[in-house]
Amino acid sequence: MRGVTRTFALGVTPVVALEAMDLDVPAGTLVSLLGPSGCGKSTLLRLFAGLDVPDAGSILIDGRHPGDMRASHQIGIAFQDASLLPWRSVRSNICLPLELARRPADHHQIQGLIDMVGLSGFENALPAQLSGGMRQRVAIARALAATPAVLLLDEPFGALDEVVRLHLHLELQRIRAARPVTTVLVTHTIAEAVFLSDQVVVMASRPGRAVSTIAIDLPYPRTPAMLRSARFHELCDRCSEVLFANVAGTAASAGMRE
Amino acid sequence: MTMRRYSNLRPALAWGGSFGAVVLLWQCAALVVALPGPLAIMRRIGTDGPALYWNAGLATLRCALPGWAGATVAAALCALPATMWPVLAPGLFQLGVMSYCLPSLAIGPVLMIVLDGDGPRIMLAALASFFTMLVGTMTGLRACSPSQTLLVTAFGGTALQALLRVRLHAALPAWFAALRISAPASVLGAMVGEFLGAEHGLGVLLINAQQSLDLSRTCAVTLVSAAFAGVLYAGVGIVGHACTHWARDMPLDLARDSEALRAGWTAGPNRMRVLLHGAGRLAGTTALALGAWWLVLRMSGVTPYVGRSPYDVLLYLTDGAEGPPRISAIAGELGITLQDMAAGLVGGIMAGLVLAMCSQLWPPLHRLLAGPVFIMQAIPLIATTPLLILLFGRGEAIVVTVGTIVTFFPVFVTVSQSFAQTPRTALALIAANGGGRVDALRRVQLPAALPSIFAALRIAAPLAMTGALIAEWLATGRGMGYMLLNAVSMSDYDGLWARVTVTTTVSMILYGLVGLGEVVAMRALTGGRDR
Repeated sequence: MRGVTRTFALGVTPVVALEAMDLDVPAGTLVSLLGPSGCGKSTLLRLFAGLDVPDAGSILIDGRHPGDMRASHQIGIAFQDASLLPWRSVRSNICLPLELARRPADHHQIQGLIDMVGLSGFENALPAQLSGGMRQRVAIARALAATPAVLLLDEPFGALDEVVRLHLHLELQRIRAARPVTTVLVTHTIAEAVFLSDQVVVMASRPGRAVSTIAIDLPYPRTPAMLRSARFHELCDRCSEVLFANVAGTAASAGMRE
Repeated sequence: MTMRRYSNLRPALAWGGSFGAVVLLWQCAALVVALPGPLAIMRRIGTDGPALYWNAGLATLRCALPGWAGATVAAALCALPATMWPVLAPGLFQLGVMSYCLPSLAIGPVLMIVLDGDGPRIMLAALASFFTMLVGTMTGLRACSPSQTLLVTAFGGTALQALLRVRLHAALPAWFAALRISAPASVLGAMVGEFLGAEHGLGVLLINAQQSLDLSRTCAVTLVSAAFAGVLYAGVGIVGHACTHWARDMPLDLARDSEALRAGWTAGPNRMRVLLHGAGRLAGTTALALGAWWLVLRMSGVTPYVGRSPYDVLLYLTDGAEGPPRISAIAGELGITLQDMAAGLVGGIMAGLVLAMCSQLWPPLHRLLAGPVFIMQAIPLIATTPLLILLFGRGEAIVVTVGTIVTFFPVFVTVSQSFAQTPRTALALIAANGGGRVDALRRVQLPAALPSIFAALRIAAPLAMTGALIAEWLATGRGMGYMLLNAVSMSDYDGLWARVTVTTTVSMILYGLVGLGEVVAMRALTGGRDR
């Protein structure tokens, strides 16, 4: 994507949510957008999903506009609140994108997804009967149901505790190893971004922009042991250095801007 | 899964248990005071022949059900556009408020002039249930979270798919709840219509029994009408629970949810905009009322002698040819009615607040009251007025009693709910600082319940007005209620239209004033900041 700008009118003063932002996501990789609240990372995700249109610049996914991608059911998305439909069972929730695309649901494929996110035996449970972590797994399985070209995750692990979160990190890695889908993950947790990504894009607010892109060279598959490795901490430190330099004050962020 | 089945069974058990308890208590009370007990009433129904009551009930349902269904359809037709284009929401909601503020006893005689056959009673049943259905449908359509509809869009679904697959489905619990609450209301609307004059129906039977001072039959008819309404209520409840088994409950609190809807679109703290909104609403309401008046006269084709226009009413009210203008006499009648209504409102608020507070301080009372309150929800309360007259006589006591009963229910339910929603941390804070339950009530729960009290008052005020009018007409023989029906029997059409206009206007002004009081109270409580 090139030179993407999005401005919102808040009262009379326009708020620049994103300013002239460039970003490349290589096919098949996972890129994290890391930043403080209000830095425009969710706005960016909405632009990717074709739910919003940039004021300037362009976004192309596989050479197509996000709106086209969305209309042809090529986008998979999951939010912080799982947003499951409470009257549908696990299986039926996962089938939703296929129904919207008017594609027949392949029983084996759906069962494969349920097994993949570790929910075998809960196919007919209602969301109210599941734990928070289980609901997020349903949301991720649902995002993958229509075999999308891109997977957009908006802080999907934000509301979970540390243990469940690490568990789901490993799940996501396993899922992506089985099916390498291009993924954009929005997060405000440094360790999560480093652990999961090929690249971490650190963002700053007012105006929302990318300040630095950090390549993560940890080998795959990444294991919990890696969380204690020196390289992991070194990468985390670099991310937090960039992140906090831009939070501390505008002078610092002006210096970092290129 | 066993938990779920158990929780499905619980309402039924609560119903049965509280029903049994009430019947038993009643039978015991009957031994002490001059009130026929359940056994005596059963005997009476036996001697009269059950067919009498059954046929009357069917006649009432013939008016109540079409009105109820019509109101449901009309509410859906208003709520859908209000959800799609939020600009329309305040206007359509105001339409519901207007229908709610029409005192059925006052509007009834006018409907009998302009409609024939079952028309007036169907219309009254529809008017009695429209606002509830509108609030329920609008609340329901807003029930799904924004991310749920966003999700459908992101997965490439159309706006129509989002509406059909998410919004409408999420609306079901609140919709069924509204349908359930409005079932007794529609029966009441039809019965008030029958009070005013009909050939068949429970209302006719009830008024005749009361006027011939036949206590046991009055009791029997009241009970049968409660049973008809209760069966509708329970039927909708069962179907609703079956259709929405995924939802924990079918919650709808008319007072709280109508305030929540209103809060959704009121313009922030800007005083000028609030004033402008208020003025716009006032102008819109007046224009709409006058327009509806004119349209009804044109459509019905009644003679100008019977169907008087707004201009005729204005002339009649200000005409000073025979002494002082008639408006002063009518204002005097209105004063009496307002006093009657105020007495009932104050009684109901006191009773509701005191009982809610007591049951907060002593939880067993709450469980004890849950049953009777649940049963009261399914009964058309105002329809018990004839019975209350026979029990409490024709004095001032009856007016206060009717008003109190009608007001008590929304106040008690809404305030109790507000108490129950107190954050546990706030209570823990009081306890940690050595405060007791009374302190928690006084310093945290009562101030927090203030908006609920106002919300309940808004809902209760039009009901209290109708209650006062009916009590005046049937019992005390003074005030607006009596004079209004007197004008009907004297064929004084000018007098009738003028009184209906005054009563309806005052009812709407009161609804607005309670709202204003709420704004002032909230300002005082929060220092002008948002809640």
